[in-house]
Amino acid sequence: MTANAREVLTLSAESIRVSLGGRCVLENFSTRIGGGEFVAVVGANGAGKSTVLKALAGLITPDEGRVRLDGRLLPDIPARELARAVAYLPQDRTVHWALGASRVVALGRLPHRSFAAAESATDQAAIDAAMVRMDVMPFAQRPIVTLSGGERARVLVARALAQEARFLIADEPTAGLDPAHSLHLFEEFSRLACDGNTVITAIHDLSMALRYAHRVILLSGGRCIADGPAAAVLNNDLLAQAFGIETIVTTVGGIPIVLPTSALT
Amino acid sequence: MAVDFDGMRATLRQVAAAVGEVSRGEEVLRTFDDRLHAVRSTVQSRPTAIAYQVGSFVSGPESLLDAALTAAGYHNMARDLALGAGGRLPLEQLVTTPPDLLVLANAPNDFRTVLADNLRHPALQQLMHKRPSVHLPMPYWMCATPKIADAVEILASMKATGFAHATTPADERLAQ
Amino acid sequence: MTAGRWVAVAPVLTTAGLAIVAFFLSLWIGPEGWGLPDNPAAAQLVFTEIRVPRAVLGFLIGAALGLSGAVLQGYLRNPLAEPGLLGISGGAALGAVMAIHSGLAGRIAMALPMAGLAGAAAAAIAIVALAGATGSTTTLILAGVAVSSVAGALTSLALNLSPNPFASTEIMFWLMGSLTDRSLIHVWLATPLILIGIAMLLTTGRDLEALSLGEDAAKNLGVDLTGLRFKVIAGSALAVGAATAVAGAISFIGLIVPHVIRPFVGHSPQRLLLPCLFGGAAMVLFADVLLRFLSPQGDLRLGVLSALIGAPFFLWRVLASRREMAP
Repeated sequence: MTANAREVLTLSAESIRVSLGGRCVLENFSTRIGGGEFVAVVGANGAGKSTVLKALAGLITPDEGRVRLDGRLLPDIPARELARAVAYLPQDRTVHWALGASRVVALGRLPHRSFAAAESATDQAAIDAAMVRMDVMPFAQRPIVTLSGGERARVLVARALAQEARFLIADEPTAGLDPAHSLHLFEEFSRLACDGNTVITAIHDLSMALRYAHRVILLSGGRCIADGPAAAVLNNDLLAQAFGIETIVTTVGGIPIVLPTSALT
Repeated sequence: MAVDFDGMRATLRQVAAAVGEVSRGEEVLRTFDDRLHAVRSTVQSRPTAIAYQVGSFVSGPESLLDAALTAAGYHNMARDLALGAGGRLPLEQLVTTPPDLLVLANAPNDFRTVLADNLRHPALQQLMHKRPSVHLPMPYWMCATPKIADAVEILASMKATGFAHATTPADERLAQ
Repeated sequence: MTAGRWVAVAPVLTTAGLAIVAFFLSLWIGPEGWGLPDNPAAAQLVFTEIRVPRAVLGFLIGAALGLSGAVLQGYLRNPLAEPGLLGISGGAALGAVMAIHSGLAGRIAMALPMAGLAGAAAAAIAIVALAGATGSTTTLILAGVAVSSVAGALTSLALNLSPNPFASTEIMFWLMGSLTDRSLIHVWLATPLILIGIAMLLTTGRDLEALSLGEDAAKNLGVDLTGLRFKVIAGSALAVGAATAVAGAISFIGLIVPHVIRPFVGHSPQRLLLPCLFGGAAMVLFADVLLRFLSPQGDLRLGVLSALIGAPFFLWRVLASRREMAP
């Protein structure tokens, strides 16, 4: 629990380029994230958000450029060590077998357990804490296939939290969540960031990004067109450029909102 | 397909007539009957025998091998098993209640298939080590020809010598 | 968490108990009923040369099939996956049939199972060559289907053109499997390979559990997907290839056993492995005991009987899952 040690940890991309199926989906992307930041990755469909997240999580290897965790190249870090440092929550919420909810959450502890070792008390504590945080205790024993989409999403977030990694990378975690649980999730992410962890999340809800994120990375056509404090990035000009929309950015009762008004043609 | 000596005789006469050698056919049959008679007149006791083949098949009544075993003075054990003209006798059963003479009617490598694994099985080989057995290659019995008389004589001589030259391969005679 | 631990241990103990019972039943039954021959010499010969090889092979082959089925279903995340799907048993059958056709089988002792192993290895290599060492699981399924249909077609062709008068019985052996007339030589040949394969497959449990969340999440949890794919394919090729090489393809075990056991282990791909190993062994051994009971002369094929036993279980699972899914 050495908060200072955590603050120096950074995840950085250096001029990375990624192509999928021969098509370049991310070009010349650089960033440096760490030390308790809450970063929202924002952009239109196909802008490269998921690619950025996967590259930072080490799930795809860039064609050019490098990704480093605290100065070390990702491919040089042993898989389990990387797994303890970076948790990744995919957009795809399929769980292939009718596992019980608590068993899904327990998967987050795999990188912490040596081969064939049973769950320790520490593991169990982390699992319980994550389940309480995501409010999934009431259906801990139910098979995941019997849960609603939103309930399942919360179980999967709890899995990522149970991983207790200092970086949490979540791809559209609020998709399909009801407003209460969306708010709750972002409150939770803010709390994680306050504790010195780093949260990187792709999100379509611009108001939520503006309200909760410290920093926004705005992507358009596979390039980063802005990277800075949320209030500075989420302005009319940049949003028009990235999404092709006209927006009203205002505050209501002290809460910032971004309201798209019309699509530019 | 002839399954006994009469059937064999009929087939031979047909073939002889077809190739215009009726008198030679009759001569062959006369020799055959003489040889068979010579063997038959010596039969007193009837030890058991079984003609064991690929895939654990054994020949029952209404088969040429049964006719040969009977003519040579044996009791074909397959008759007791009520298998019909042919059926399977599991190797384990053969090992448990072996006949007085085990007639191996296929060579272990006649068939290069898993089906013939029973012929190569160590249990069978050990049984053949311990018990009287004779190898009767397929050319003797597969088709109904007077060559079956050779088989009858081999089987009868096995019995006459008290199975003294057990496992004598009949191949040598076949090669002549 | 004692309840949780019990959920993990009880299925292992139950299936292991069933497998042990089935193993002793298999040693105890012969074509003439229960027990051994009265004659001590015959009893010894029957026991060591016939019953022991049959029971040991039944255990190992069932274990290989059940475990490989569980691993493949977990890895491919497809409940219809089974060892035959990868084309490994098809490759083994093709290898053996080619050895028969080429005459190799007659010249070298044990050439048949050796050729079966070579065929299984060739099938595994072909699958990896087609699907790649890292590709998606869908590609792997497609590659497996391709390899197994090519192997099946070539097997039929070789047997069609075969001068062997027993070609149809030969096809039956390779497609429906049999433990008849297996000897200790087969045991010595298959056992080491099956055990190595089983050991490789048993190490995949954690990775398969993580893979329930998809490949990205699994990789993020520290799973080495390339290494996992190697272990799944090589382990199945060794275990199932060796099993098929000595006893032909016994279908349905690898499909059915994981299905029957899955509800009892909370659908966990990891907890499924050991019970499927023992459950597969128990099912093959019980089927083989029943076989000798119903058809002492050995006319009924093991693969047919295992399918006959397996089908009702499968139907029961289908109906149960319909009830569970009902609104």
